Amino acid sequence: MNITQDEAKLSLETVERIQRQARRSVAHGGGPWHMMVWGVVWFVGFLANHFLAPAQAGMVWSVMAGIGTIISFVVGWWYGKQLRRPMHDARIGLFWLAWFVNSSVIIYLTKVYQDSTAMSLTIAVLAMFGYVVMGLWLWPPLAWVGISVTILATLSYALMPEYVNLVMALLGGGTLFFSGLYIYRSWR
Amino acid sequence: MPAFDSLIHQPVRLQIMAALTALPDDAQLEFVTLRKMLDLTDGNLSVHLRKLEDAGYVQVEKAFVGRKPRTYIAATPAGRKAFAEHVQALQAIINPSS
Repeated sequence: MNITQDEAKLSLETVERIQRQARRSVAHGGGPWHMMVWGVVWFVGFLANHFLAPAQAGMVWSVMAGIGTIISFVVGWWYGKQLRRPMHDARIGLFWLAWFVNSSVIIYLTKVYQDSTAMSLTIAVLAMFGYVVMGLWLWPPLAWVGISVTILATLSYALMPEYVNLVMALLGGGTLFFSGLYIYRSWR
Repeated sequence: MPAFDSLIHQPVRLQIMAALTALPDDAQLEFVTLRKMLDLTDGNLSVHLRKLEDAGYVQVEKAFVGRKPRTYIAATPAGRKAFAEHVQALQAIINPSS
């Protein structure tokens, strides 16, 4: 078969385009959705911390975290249906299970639950630790979001504790939501 | 000299192999997802998959998700090798000196 340079170039461009599309839309397809969902959860939860009494804020967090968890499962199931990787998916599931158990133990041992702001920030930072691990393992943008939000949470808690919930709602939740939205739009 | 593969070079099969080899080795892509990604009809995709399967380049597996039957496709190690060599052959056409 005789192939001209132009035909070969066109074929290679097609290969590159399809491979980029496959990697983005399928392999990491759920990532942006998780970020957007948890961005909204954080926004509402931290706003509740700022404006409501601790007991009411706790209720808001419980409801929002429950909704976020359900949507995350649905997103995971939807993308898992498109791309099967049984061992890989099991490992990710086990990581988040271990994360949940360890985080619960840390919260119990440090008694951080006595202060609703410290509790929310601790969970947020622990969640960002999970993002960093996922980023190093699977998809680097998650690691950068995890590092950025952890720095933001630490600095705002240290420098302006009275506004930390507002900062986390707007900048923490905002970073998650808009990073997810930006990645989702850039992939389409 | 890398091997030019005329079976893979057909435009639809080139796209199928490109999509499948972009994914990790242990990944299986669902038929409908692949069809939508490449904007093909069921029949067209099936015909080309059969040719690639006969050559040992892809593996097609039927499975049930809940009660619904689904077809999953993965590139085999032989398919990945043949595709990589084919891409190298195309690159060699563009840059004959390298």
